[in-house]
Amino acid sequence: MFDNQVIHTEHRDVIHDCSYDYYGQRMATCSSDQTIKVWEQNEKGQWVVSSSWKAHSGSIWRLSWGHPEFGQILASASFDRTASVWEETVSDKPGPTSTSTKRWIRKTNLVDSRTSVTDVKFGPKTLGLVLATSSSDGTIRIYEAPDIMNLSQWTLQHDIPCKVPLSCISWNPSVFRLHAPMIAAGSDSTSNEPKVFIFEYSEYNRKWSKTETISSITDSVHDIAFAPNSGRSYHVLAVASKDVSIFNLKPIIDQTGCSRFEVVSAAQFNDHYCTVWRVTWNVTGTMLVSSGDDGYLRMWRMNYQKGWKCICSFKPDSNTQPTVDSPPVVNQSLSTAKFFKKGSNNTQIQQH
Amino acid sequence: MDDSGSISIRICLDGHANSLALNKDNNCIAVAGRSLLKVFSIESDGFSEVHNMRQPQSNNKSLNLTFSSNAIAWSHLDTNVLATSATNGAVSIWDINKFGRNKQLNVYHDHDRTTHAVIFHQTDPTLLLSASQDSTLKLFDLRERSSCVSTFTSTESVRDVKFNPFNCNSFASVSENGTVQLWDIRRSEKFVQQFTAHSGPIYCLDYHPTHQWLATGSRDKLIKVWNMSSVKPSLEYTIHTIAVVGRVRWRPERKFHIASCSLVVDYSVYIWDVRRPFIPYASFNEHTNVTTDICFKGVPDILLSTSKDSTIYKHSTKDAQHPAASANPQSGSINFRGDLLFVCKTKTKPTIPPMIPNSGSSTKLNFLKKHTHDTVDSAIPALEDWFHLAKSSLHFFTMESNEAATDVMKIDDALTKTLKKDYMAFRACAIDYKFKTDTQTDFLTLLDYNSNIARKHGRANVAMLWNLVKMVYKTAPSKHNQVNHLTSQVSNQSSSGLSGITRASGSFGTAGIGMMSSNAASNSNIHPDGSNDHSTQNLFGTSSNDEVFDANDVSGTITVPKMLVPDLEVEVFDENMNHNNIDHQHLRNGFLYTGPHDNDVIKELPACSSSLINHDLTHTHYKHHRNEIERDIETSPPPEPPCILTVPTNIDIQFWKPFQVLADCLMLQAEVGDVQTPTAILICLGDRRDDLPIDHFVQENWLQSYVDLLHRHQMWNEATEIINISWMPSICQLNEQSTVIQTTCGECGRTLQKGWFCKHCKSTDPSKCVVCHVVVKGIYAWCSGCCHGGHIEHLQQWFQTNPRCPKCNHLCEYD
Repeated sequence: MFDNQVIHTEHRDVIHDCSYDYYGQRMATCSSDQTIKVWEQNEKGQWVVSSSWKAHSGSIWRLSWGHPEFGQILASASFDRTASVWEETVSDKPGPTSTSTKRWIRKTNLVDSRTSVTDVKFGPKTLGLVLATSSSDGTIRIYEAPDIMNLSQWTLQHDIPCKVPLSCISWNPSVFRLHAPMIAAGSDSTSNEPKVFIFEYSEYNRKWSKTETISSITDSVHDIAFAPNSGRSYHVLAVASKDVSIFNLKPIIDQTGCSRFEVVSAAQFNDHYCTVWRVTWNVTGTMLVSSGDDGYLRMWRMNYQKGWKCICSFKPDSNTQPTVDSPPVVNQSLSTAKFFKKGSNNTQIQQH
Repeated sequence: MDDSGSISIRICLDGHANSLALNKDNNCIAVAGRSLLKVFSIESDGFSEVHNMRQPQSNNKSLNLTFSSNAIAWSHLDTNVLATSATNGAVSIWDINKFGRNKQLNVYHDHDRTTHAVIFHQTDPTLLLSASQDSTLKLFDLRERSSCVSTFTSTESVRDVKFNPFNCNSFASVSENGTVQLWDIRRSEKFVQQFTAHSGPIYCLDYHPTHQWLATGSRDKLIKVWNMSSVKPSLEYTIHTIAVVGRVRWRPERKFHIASCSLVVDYSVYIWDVRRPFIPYASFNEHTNVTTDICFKGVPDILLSTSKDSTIYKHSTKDAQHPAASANPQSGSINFRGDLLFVCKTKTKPTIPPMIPNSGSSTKLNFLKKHTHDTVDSAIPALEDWFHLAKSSLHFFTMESNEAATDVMKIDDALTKTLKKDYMAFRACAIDYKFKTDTQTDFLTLLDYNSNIARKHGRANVAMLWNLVKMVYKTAPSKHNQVNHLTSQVSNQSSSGLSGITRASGSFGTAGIGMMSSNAASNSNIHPDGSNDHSTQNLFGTSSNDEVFDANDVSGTITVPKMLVPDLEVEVFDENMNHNNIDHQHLRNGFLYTGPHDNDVIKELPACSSSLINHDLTHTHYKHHRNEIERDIETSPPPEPPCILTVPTNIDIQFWKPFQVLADCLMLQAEVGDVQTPTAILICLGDRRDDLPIDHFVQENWLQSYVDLLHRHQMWNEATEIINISWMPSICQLNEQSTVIQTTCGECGRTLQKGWFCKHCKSTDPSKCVVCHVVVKGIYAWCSGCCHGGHIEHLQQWFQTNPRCPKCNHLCEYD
């Protein structure tokens, strides 16, 4: 049984991302209302805001926590075409207005993108302080802070053009030194082209290059996530598109020394039967949580046969009342029929 | 003229336009720029040039600044009359019906500096108002051809001016010091009212066509909407844009919509819903340079814009992008405990798609526009009707019982138990596993101990794996042993081994190993007797409920690792099986038994129930034998030793490769996401691990991943233990990174170079305990402030009674 705690965020617009920190003890939320809030649990288990600040002049799409080795750092990606790095500082003297002495300071503002920055992710800590951003102008940018003690100085190391608007990126989180740095990127363009790309960094050439394109996904991709490696011999990638897909990427050692992957579709689900917005993994990469426009949260688990199964699905807000009145629902026109799962399942409510 | 205009049209201009104006019929557009003054007629498929008031410069090298237009206005009443204002302050009146140079009716040179805006009065066609950098506003009467009729003097440069649509004598101006001034055209000496609206220069303003609202846009990136109905204007809405606001325009027929473009950085044109001030309702991203001016073409769905990229665009809202639509409305995050955060947009959307694309003719559309606008919208709730109703709710799901919980999600108990168990068992095993043999525990006892730990924490399959390791190493001390010898050893062990193995139930480990031990047993002609099988059954009967879920996991297909007979695969298909129906009856030797329940039945099925058991036979030679084995496994336990277990004598004894099997087991365990078990087993094996055909890189990856996982659980001691115990140089080094402790002499405060001997004091005093003055061996605790310290116990004792450092007497405390 799950205890469900509904948290009143007091964000004034849609929340686009929420994220646990590395240890899973704090969380951060970001919203279209241009603020970031950092939360902590009190002794009763309630989540309380520890900091809240206006961070951007546009909607904030994504947040990423840095590895705690580098301090309490957050990166944010915004519609205002910038990505920022924030650090929590604890001042000795309490401020005159607030009792809290913890403050989040903007350490840098990365302004290279000419369009909305759609995603930002810190790289695995073994690479040092690196940050990847994706933007809707179709460029992945890799930044690095050469001095990990100086968070204000970030240099744009690589600029990977992808030609299609990007919506999401994910680092391969493997900490193993022999796994080359790897990034997967997804696009939400409406064209009928492949949407998922895998990039790998070659130490030899000192550059990033596209190693794979997953051609089976041609619907727009909203989220992409590498599973924690946990000692596997292959990498697992979850893609949120029209539905949930899981891919195994098995490295192939070929004679030329080029890095290639055998991309095997491990699972493909139609349970949501609508746009899936978010996929997220547990720490061992054995469970995937997906959420879609049908309002359902689904958990997927790998069994001992390496097969994936839906272990539960539930609707989080079924018990809670929406805070605003919905406009009256009128008869559904036939043109929407294709969005509905044909036949049995009436519990799924489609949202398009 | 087609208003539906589903395409955006682009034409090139000579130089860019700073401003645009529409005539009163909304079918012609006038654009004005530095070297440009043209009128285009707007047609359904494009713009066509009607007039060009600027003749090509033939010989005049210096540009006449009088023609370098900043702003343009079209008379609201006379469709032939235009006004432009120039960067040198000149205000020109044009009549497009005249010819050649006569088009320019008049030029006023009243302003000293740039004129930023020029507007016609709505009702009086002779009145013209201009706003200038010279901090004045001037009212012109077109009949008075020499100079202006009145001057309104402000305190700061005036950037824009608009007549109040509700009061023909009133107008508002905005200036660079952030104030809005309201004027009466009959009183030129002083403004009627003034208020500070922004913290930076205000560049534009617009009166709402139907409400008493005034919108202002400023360099502080804000658009503010002021309610002007009261005596003192009050702030109604604030829109946060991403760049300096250059122009604002209310959208006709949409009370809450306003369009804006910016002066710098941002090339897009946005339409905002003032009730949702953070994200644009729609955006037009066609321009490749800064948009200089925007205007609605009298209808809400057509927007015209000019840009520094030298183009005019006619945008249709149908083609607009909706940034909020592609924005992620949901998000989730799981921490290591399995707590789940979930954010989703509250359901305010109707379950209806946005407006069906217009396919009707233009006449129908005009009809809709004019008469049934309201009914159309209420029939099909369009995006703009619920766009502003955007809120999210944040849920926190935890498996710990939580005081703060507001309600309980009814989720399958077995599921949450399993999820919780994953976390609890990982932690417990990480703490309890022992890795080193000592005088009391030899290697086998250690394996046994760890097996018990795993079982204690409910991980029967892992316990199983430990037992397998034990069994392998009990009998096979080294790789070079005769495997023949090994198999017989295993046979001898089988009855104890088997019971040990089968005590665990459920998931893979049991499945594979149960199979193997049976194979081993039958291979050496020692049959497990009935009682043994019965004990197995009993043990299953007593296995805890926790295991049921694991059993669910396996219920897909079961593939047994290659063992006795190469290429033998036994798969149990139960795709159609209802998981809830699984009970212990179905679990036999770890298999989910779905076939016939009786030996008798299976005898009637000589094909060995091929629908249930799919075997991949490559050597027919073994076929008979395999069938025997499968029956042995798949059928229910026989009441007495069944005759079918009699093994033909012509079987070749296959060598069992225990190390390969063990390696495969460990690999599988890692692949399915449990890196703890293979790592722990490898550590316990010590040097014996070299027997296993597992690549060193794989081993390193396991260790690294396990250490990382322990860090995530904040189990520092356990992680350090693993790092210290590891045999990989790259892992051992982890402890030597990042942390540098500098030792300082407590006497003189200088850094100790090497060891505890201070070169400056020429003594070893820094190594002595400040309490007992004896050289410290073991843990040395010290104050990071004064560098004095000593035996940790002595310091603990000391600070229980004294608040001060024993040596330098400063206030100190022991944490």
